Amino acid sequence: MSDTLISIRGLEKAFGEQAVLRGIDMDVHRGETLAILGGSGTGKSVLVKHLVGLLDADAGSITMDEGEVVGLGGKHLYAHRRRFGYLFQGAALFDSLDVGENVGLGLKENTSKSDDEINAIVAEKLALVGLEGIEDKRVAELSGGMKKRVGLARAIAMEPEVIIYDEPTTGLDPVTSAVIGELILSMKKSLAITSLVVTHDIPLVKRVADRAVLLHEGKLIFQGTVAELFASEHPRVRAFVTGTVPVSNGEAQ
Amino acid sequence: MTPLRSTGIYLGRQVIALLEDVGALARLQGQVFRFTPQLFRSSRLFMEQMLEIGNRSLPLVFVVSIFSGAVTAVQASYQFQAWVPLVLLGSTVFRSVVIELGPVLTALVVGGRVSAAIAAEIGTMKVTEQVDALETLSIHPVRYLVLPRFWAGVIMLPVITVIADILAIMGAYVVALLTIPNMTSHLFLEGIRLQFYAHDVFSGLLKAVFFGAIMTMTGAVFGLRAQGGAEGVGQATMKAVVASCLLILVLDYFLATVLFQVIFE
Ligand SMILES: Nc1ncnc2c1ncn2[C@@H]1O[C@H](COP(=O)(O)OP(=O)(O)O)[C@@H](O)[C@H]1O
Ligand SMILES: [Mg+2]
Repeated sequence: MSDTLISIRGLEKAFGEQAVLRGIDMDVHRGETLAILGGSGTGKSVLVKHLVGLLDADAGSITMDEGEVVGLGGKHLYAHRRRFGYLFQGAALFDSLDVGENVGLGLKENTSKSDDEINAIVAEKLALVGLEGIEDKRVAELSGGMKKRVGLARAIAMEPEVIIYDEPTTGLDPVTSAVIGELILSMKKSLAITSLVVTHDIPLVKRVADRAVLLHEGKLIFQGTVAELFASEHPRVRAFVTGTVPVSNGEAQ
Repeated sequence: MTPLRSTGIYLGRQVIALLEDVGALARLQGQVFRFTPQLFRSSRLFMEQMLEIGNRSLPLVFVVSIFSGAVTAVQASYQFQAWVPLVLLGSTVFRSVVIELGPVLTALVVGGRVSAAIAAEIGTMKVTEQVDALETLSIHPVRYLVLPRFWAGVIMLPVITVIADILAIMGAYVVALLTIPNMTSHLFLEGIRLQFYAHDVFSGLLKAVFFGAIMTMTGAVFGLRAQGGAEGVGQATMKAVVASCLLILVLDYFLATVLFQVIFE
């Protein structure tokens, strides 16, 4: 048996009339890289936002090391969030701060470290993502790929146990995407971290993931290893993996 | 559906939306007060916000104050005609500026800019997930974003109002001397001295404190609830400005009632 870190059971979420998650059951194992797959707008971001309490579940439970996450509030929620690093789809860097301040903000606000200590950590994290010495740059000066990397440096600044990558390569050119893929691998190696990678980038899945789940119409229609993913006979899974229109099987037109 | 029924449903929705806004504002205000002991942690942001409010408002306040003071002098002397002793001009100008014109005109001018700027800043952060990013860094957005802006508004508005009052009275003084026959510097100042009440000044500044709270809180509440890209930010900004102006005028009435019909009656 693998060592389960996070366990999701019967997770449901609707926005008004629109049911986005309709009963999700899945586990995240300690130290693995799990790909969360699905088409645009299927609720991948909604799913991972529940893990850090950015959204409240309508039903179901999420446990991490046996502690319930759904319904956490106040300082318990903030303590829980400190176990995560979150790389947002659009990087979500703070426009009003420079690169160094972006990476160091969590440390500045949550720890009693001195400015010098924080600057040293910021320099180290920026080096880890291959961006030494850009502390003083404004966010507006950065390219898309650089923003993602700064976002990653910010996400790992407080040494999280789990990193959530929300579409880390979407909108990037293939070379930059490959660089991000290498970074995800090196994060895993150097920090011994559990990684959740939300994506529909199949080469990235091949490159970095150990296991994968596939979200479709509010449910997981596949969970298993990456080898099983590529061997799956399920028409929708095959369609997703090969990037083709689903074969007609009664439900498709 | 009958027109009456659909109008009823429309009005009902508007009332519900209004109650939601009021509820959100009250909840946010509660959070701001709860986080207030931690204001020292954001002292730099707090200073920055105070400077920003000052920079944003002073040029406009300058022009608006001088001219509104000048108009008050002209208007008062016209209304006095020969019936009211000219010595009362100074006190009339002074009291209307300090109690009402200074605080309210300043709040309307500054409030439009400040609430719009706050709604746009925070709204942009909301729709680009920067607010979520704060949350994932275990930083409460209300403490980090709203708290310094709120207290900066509460402190800066009285300061700006004092400046506006002085400018307006100077404007009135100059115009009175230049345009009213028989008006002298001594007469104008004597009028002010004759009916100077500290509680007039206090009431005006107390109003300014409340107006500073309103303009920052409306900006924050609509910014934090912005949804759906640039268009959502635009809507939040517009709502914030309208709400700020309306609430300033409504609150002015209630404060005037409480201050002059209950407390200093
Ligand atoms: N805060 C929200 N309020 C309302 N609807 C939302 C919200 N967040 C996401 N949705 C909706 O949920 C659906 C799934 O969104 P999302 O998880 O972002 O998709 P994706 O799989 O592309 O990440 C979309 O239809 C989106 O419009
Ligand atoms: Mg998404």
